[in-house]
Amino acid sequence: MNRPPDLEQRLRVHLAEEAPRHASDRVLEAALATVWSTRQERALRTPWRSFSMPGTLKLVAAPAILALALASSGLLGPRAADVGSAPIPSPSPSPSAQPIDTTGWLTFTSDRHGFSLRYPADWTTRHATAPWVRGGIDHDMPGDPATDELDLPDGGVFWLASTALPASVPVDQWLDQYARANGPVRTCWPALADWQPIAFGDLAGAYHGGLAVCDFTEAVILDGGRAYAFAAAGGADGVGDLDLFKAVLSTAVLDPASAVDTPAESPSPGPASPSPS
Amino acid sequence: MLAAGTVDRLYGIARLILRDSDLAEDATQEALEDAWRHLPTLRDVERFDAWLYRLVVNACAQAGRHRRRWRTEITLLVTEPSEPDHASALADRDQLERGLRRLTGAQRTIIVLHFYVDLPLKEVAGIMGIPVGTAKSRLHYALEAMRTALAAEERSTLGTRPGEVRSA
Repeated sequence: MNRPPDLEQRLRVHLAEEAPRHASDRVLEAALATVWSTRQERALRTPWRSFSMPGTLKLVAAPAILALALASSGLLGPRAADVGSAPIPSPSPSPSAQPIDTTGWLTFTSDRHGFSLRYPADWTTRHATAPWVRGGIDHDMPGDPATDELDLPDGGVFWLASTALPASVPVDQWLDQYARANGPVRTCWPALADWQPIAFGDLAGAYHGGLAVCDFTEAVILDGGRAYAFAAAGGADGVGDLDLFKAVLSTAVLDPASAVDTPAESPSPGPASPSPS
Repeated sequence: MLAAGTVDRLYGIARLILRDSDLAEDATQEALEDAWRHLPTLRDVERFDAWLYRLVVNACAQAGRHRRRWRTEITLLVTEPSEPDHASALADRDQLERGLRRLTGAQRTIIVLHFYVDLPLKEVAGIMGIPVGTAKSRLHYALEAMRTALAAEERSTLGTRPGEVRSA
C-alpha cells in the first residue's frame, strides 16, 4: 500500500508543527555574549585607534596578533615598540570612559612574585606567602596564600601571582593549557586566540573577561621566563571594573629576576609598607 | 543581526535537522558565532539569509558528528514500543518523525530547507554547496527512503497491533 500519496504536503505540515517557535534562553544569552566576547574579521584590517567604544574594543584583532606572538619565543613580553611587523596594539582608553585619576595611589611591591604596581589608597592588600602553582582562576580564591591580593572597598578583589615557566613545556603549550585550565565553557573561558591585548606598564599582555555573565577578568603576560597572572572579580559592577583593571595593570612594573619560587621562605615577608607614589 | 527572531529561526532549522535540542542549541550558537565573526566579510547583503542558513547547516553537520548521543537517541526511539493509537493524526506524526530520523543528516537537511524553510532547490543546493542536480537527486532519494520506511512501518504495525484479531 502506498500510504502517503501526499508525502510532501505532509512533510510541510509536520515540519511546521514540529519546529520549535523559540530558542531557549541559553541560546539567546550565548548569542548576546558572543557579540561581546568574539572579535570580527574586519578588525584585522582596521587601525586600533579607530575603535573607541568600550564594547568594540573587545572586538578588535588582538587574537591574530596574539597568535603571532604565541608562535614565537618570548611571546607576550616584548615591548610594544619592538614587535616589528606585527605591532601589538596599544589598548587605548575609551573616550567614553572616565579617565581614572591615579593621583595618590600607593605602590604595592610583590617580592615573591616579582612585580610592583600602583593601586588606590583605600584598597587593602595582602601579600602571598607561598609559591603560586599555575592553575585556573578557581585556584586563586580569596585568601589563597599563593596570590597577592588587593581588596577593594566595594567587595572587588584583585589577585596577582607569577610562576616560572617550566623549561620542559613549550611556551605556547603552557599558555594553551592555562587558557583551557577551567574547562570548555567558551563564553567565560575563551580560547587563547580570542583574548584581547592589555598593557602591563610598557609591556603588552592579553586578557579576557569583562563580561557580567562571567563575573571576572583575567590577564596574563610572559616576561623573563615567568608567567604573570592578574585577575579581578566581584565589585559593584560584578566584573571587577574593566577600566580600573586596565588602569591598575598599566602601572605594573615586572621584575621577574626578583621573584621567589621556593615554597618555604623564612621569615615570611611581612606586608610591605605602602609608599605614596 | 542577532535579533531574537533570527536566533529562533536558526534554532528551528537546527532542531529539525538534528532532532536533538541540545545539539541544536550548540549548532545555533556555533552558527551565530560564525556569523558574528565573519559578518564583515559578507559582501552581498541580499544573500544574508542564505548565508545564515549555510552557517547553521554547516554547524549542524559538525554537531551531527558527535555520534554517541546521536546514536543513543536513535536507539531509544527505535526501541520504543508502538502505541496502539488509533488517532490517525498522532500516528501520522509519529510515523513521519520516525521516518525523518532514519534519514541521513544530509537528507534531512535538504528536506528541512526545501519543505520547512520553503527554499527552491537551486537555493538549497547553493546553501549546501552541491550542484542542483545532486540536490534534486538527494531529495528524491530522501523522499523514497521515507516512503519505504513509512510503508514498512505501516505493514509492521498492522501485523502486530496488540489486540487485533487477524483474519484467517
